[in-house]
Amino acid sequence: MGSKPKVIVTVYGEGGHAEEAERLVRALQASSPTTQFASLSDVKLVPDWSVLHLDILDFRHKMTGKLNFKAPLQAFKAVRQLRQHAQVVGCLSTGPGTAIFPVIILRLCGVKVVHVETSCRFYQRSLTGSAMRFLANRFIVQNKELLKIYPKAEYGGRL
Amino acid sequence: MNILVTVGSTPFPSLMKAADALAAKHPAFTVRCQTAEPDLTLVHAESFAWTESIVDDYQQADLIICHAGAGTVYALLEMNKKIVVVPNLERADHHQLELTDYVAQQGYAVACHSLLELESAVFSAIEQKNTPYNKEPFFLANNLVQYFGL
Repeated sequence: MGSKPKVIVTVYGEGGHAEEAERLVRALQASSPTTQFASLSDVKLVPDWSVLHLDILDFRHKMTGKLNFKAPLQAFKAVRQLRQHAQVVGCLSTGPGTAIFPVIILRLCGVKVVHVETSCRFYQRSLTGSAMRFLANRFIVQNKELLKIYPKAEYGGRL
Repeated sequence: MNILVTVGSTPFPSLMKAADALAAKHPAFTVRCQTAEPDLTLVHAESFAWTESIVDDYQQADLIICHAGAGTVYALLEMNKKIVVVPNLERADHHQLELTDYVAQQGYAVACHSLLELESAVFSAIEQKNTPYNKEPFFLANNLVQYFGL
């Protein structure tokens, strides 16, 4: 156990969520240059900051809204594989729903989870935000407007 | 006038059709479309599904018509580009309406809620002087490093 590298795992989906994960990691790297990051994502492109990139599945299709029932099992496999290779000291999620199952499993494993809600929301809760405000240890919003609908959230500025 | 149309990772076929019509009507416009659809070809506009150097395309464009995805919109605002934001309502959820309304209300961009109005939105964007984008940068990085005990 002691020989495994310590990592923060970043969980994110496509598009703006991947961009926000990238910006979040860059911000943390600026504060702690030696910290290592792993990634769980449905984006195939491996980020240059990730020491271990594992595939997960989006549980809901963007265009059709159809649910993918393979997503929970794939999340379990990815987290198990991650923990075989690294000591996970924390999790950063930028959504979307892709992140929900990995976060549940990581929380069950005792990992601290911080969710940063997407900056494209201002006035309404996202499905992911509705779940993550209960699942995550800390729930951070990038738009002050969201504090009205997530009173226990923290405002963190915009990535 | 170089116009780039970009939709990120999610197809938006009706926007592509409208952009192609715009290119047909205005030969003085050079319209390039990032479609997210490998099989889609347009008649009047140039198209490509995806590129890893989209930022180069952003820089070369005089005006950008984009979906209301956060990654695209904020990157363009940070580059001070003239943009027309079109919410992709062909997705299962309609969350792109929020960012579209926000950038329009702040004066950062022109919103286009109906593709029938795309042409007028383009001319509005060409003429409009946008409010410079301003944000409070993320300030919890040190706090998070400490929180994770690193």
